[in-house]
Amino acid sequence: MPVPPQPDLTADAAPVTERELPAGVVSDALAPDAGSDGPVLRRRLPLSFWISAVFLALVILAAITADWLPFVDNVEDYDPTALAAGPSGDHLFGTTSNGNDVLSIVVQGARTSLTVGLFAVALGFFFGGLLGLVAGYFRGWFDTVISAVIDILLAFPALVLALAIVSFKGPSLTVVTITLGILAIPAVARVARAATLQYASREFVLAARTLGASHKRVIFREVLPNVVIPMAAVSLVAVAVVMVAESGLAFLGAGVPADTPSWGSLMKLGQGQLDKGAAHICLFPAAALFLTVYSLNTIGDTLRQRFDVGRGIL
Amino acid sequence: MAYFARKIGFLLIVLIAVTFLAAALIRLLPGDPATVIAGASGATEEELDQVRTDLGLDDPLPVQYVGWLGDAVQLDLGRSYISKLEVRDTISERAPVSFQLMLYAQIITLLIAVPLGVFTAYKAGTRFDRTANGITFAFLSLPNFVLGFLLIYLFAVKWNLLPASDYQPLSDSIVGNLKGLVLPALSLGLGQVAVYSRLLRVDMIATLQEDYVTMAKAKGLPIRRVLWRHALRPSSLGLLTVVGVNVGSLIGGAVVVEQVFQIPGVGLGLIGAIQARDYIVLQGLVAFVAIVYVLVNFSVDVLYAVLDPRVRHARASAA
Repeated sequence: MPVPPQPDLTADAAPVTERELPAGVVSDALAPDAGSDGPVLRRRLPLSFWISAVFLALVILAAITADWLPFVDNVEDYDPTALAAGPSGDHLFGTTSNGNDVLSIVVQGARTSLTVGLFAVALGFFFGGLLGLVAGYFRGWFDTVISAVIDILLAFPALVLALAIVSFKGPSLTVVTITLGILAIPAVARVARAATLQYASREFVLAARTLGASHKRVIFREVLPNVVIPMAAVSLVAVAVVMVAESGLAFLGAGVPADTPSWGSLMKLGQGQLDKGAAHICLFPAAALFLTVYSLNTIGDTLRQRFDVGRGIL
Repeated sequence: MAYFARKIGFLLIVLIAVTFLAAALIRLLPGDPATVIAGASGATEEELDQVRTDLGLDDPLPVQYVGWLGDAVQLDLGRSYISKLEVRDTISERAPVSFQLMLYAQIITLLIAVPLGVFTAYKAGTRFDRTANGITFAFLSLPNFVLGFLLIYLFAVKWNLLPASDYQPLSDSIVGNLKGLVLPALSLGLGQVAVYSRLLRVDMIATLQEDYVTMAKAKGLPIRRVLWRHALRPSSLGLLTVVGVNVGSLIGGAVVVEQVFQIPGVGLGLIGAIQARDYIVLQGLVAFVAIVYVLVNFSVDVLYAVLDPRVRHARASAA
């Protein structure tokens, strides 16, 4: 959605919808009441942050070590004695109608989702960040052109575009990743530009210029380090948005290839079984996606709030 | 006035850009549309050429686009080579369905979000406020199709209260129509409750600090009246904007939700056109969705400027 929406890479806070909203609207709406809990820097991170971080760490660990985990079968393995069987000792999350172990697919699907999420966001942040930095720093005609192009691209429903590109290009991990990465560029560029604008006219930038530093040096050594922090919080939410988009595309049958394990295609497979007493096929990947997205959003939101408040003190 | 003139100029550029993008999309994709259209392998080379000439596929992209645009402004979007239906008719058949879905989603969302925003603002900082925030935040993280599966499982399979997939036109049965669209609308809308209620909450908190609110309270007006009659209206401008802008994210979400619940709207049409490689229909639908999206955003912008003169003056002086 969205795709993503969405829908939906607008960096700030509200996942999924973010991209559709004018800059600031969501972040303002979701910002906490500043300082309600005492001194910002000494405030401890909330429990929800740590639970999310631990869960996310587990997901990442499982995705990396999937091949060596004892409870994860190969993609081809199936159990002919257990077709669409509910959760049991042998199959903790049950099996699909083909006898595949649902837990194994969920773990391997985590690998697919995370791969797409991380690489697409890296792509989007590299190019989008660069564009936003340059546009926000130099302003002028370049900024005008870039901003207009961003507005036009954001005016196009991203999920629809992704759906069309992926289904025509043919399903592959690379196509999905690159498509979602490219679609992230305008939203990221907008956020990076807004963040850059805040610093580009500050005293330390002026001082560096006066001392004779080149534009390149000022951008990368003075502005970038300040912009990177808020962008990092945003990037976590962006990973969540991309993971949702990846699953959504796979659910629509336009995602990663059929033989690549994916939460979206598992949900698609399971949807037909919802009313046949095998709801676990659909609900386990659904829960995995929800918890992962929730964790990413919680961590991103916590960091962003902390950062926003911190920016106020500077 | 200059503000609106500039807005309209930009609107035209964006409209041309998105429809051009829709045309380019189909052109840039691999495969020969003519082969698909003429029926895979059975067609002779002459037949293929005939199709290419008919569709102007041999012309450069800008020529194709201008041709398409010329027809499109006369509301002629071509005809499907597969179903032989006019794209225009497909749209007029499907758009009302998607529109209902989004309308219901917005209504449900607002029915939950407005009271929630008002009360969390009134009770800001309390346990009620934090709990409500936590729950709506969780819904925000629930992708709409995941929520759709959950609702189908609970309401259709487990409790057997509502159909999992049963769209009925409003003209057939009002109750049947509502029943069929409740779950899809909930899937589409619940996530947005957090966005709306938090936005309203922030604006309400600011309004509640105003002197006239203190005055109203001091006069002894019941708090219910102060909240709903005095404070809500001036606080709802931001909400209005977001409700409008959010239509964009609903359009994307609706594609997925229509697939989950098999609702015959524009989204399902898009997916069908993609799967069938129905290029003309695809281009028409993508262009239609993009145009609606752009027009909605534009209307919200203008409405906002009309309602709040500060917006147009601020932008005019900044430019």
